[in-house]
Amino acid sequence: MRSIDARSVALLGLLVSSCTASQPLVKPSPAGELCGGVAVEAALVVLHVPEMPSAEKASDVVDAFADQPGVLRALLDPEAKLLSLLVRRDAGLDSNRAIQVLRGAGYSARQASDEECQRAEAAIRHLDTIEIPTAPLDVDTTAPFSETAAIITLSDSLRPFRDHFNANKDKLRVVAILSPT
Amino acid sequence: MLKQFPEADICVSIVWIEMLSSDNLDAARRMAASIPDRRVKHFHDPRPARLAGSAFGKDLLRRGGGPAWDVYLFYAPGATWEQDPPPPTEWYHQLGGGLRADPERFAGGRLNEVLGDAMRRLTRATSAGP
Repeated sequence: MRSIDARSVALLGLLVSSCTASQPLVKPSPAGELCGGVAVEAALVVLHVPEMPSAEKASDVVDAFADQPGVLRALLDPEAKLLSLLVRRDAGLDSNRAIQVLRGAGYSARQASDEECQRAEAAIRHLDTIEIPTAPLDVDTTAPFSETAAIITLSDSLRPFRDHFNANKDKLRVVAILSPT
Repeated sequence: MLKQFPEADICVSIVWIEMLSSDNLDAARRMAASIPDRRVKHFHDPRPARLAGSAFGKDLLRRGGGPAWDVYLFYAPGATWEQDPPPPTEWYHQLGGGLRADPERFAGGRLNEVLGDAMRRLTRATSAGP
């Protein structure tokens, strides 16, 4: 499986650097519209989060993101204050105005398990946003990176499929049921 | 079909169902990776339950027809899946001459043409509005 090197991080990253230290981390709020309407596909979202006075330790910042649906892993580099978020593909984080991660964010070197994906998928239905008080930045649109596409296994429920079907009720929908071989 | 209609605002769900002995999650993932269109969401329907195939097969296939597979279903805007999947607006299959499914819906060797025609009709109808 491919790993992400530093150049990939630079190319694929989205850097937010204008957090003001005086503003506390905002609690999640109901999902809102896309910020700027920019569609970005990135394997890795990198946020530069200055030290927050309300965060007693670096892990507080990580924790604020790590338990968000669709975020598989959050890693804070205390030296550079870089917060890396690994977001599953098609996590549906359309409403996250601050980090502007939309559909297509893929995996990194770690492949999420089906259980993780299903938990994230179920949680996304009622996703709240994290609002970090910062202006949106120009981002480079890059091709999504993924060794394999995300796929949801319907092992004990059709609910993810049904929810996806109904969530797109305003569109023409096509369903194909196929053998992969 | 997706390449024929690159700008169509459609939602496509592809369910990779384990029907053949060679079908498994890895095979499903590989196929899913070969169709990276952003309008497509991929699902895996494992044996033995084959939940999706069974749910759609109830209405589409003849009695005893088993789970639905090799089927292509179109749903106009507004259709809602409540307890069971709604009946499709149009649908086609590759299940052969008619023992398992309506022979009128058999696409055979004309699958691309049939799906393309359906897309043209239904996207025109969608654009025209109510």
